[in-house]
Amino acid sequence: MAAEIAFPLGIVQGATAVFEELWSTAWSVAGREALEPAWHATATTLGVDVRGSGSGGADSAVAAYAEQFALDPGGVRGRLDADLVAELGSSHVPTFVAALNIVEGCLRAGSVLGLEPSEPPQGIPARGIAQIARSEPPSPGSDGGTLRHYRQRVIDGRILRVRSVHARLALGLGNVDDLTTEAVRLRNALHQQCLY
Amino acid sequence: MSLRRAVARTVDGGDLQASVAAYAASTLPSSVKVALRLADAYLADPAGLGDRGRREASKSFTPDQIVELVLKLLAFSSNKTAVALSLDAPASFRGLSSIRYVDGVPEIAADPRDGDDLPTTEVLQ
Repeated sequence: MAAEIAFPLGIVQGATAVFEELWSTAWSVAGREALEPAWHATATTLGVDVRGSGSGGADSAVAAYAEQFALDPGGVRGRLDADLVAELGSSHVPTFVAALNIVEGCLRAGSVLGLEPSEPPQGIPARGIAQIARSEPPSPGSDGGTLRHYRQRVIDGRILRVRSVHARLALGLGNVDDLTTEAVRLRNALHQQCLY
Repeated sequence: MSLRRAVARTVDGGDLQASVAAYAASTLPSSVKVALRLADAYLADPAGLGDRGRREASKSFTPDQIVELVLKLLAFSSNKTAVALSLDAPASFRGLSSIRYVDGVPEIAADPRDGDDLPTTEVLQ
């Protein structure tokens, strides 16, 4: 059912284009085969109606991972993470998770704003081709800055670039005061139990 | 949760994180509480917000402010990738670190502050 009250992205200059670029980049980098079951699982978990059968891959490791990721990202560690590595290969997991993070974020944003959920873009590859450099994992006990640099080496650069473009737009906007922005940032960190 | 931005403090002072954690009973301004309810919807039950929640939000914020808040939540929640991959840790193990945004790009201070020396700009009255 369409929302009676909705806030279109277009009322903020540049937001529609960046949102669409986020969405299309996540799909094109991760590929339809991996991301579609995850998208359906996420939408179902969030109570967002999306089209398509969603039956393909519903019992897959990516769907199980996506369902838990939507509820609690810390909860994927262990069996779900191991199953995902077995399905995708360890070098592709960081990029897949970053793409999933974008897709579920876009679903959340659209739902809160009262917008119709986006469909997967046309013409995306069945399988993603992540461009990832091999990198030595950080030593145990590394600080957040070291781990951040490591993330940037193991996640596909196209995902990092579009995330950066979006962050520059969102955090460069100034119609919401700094206290409110910082309160919302902390609320998010508390919810995710993020240590950084 | 190791980063803090210098912002106005509530009159009872202290770390903003404590006020945000229990915001309903805090002395935070009512508009901030509305923004945090919107954030909770985004984080926990986006489909549950509905027209009623959007109507409530629009009493405190203009439509472009609401879109801005949601775009910021979408940016902040990119930390879920780090959490899921076990690649999150405090910016420094010696205390809180100061963060600021320059043209939308976060800059994190190299030297952490002591836990009771929180960045601040003024106290809200």
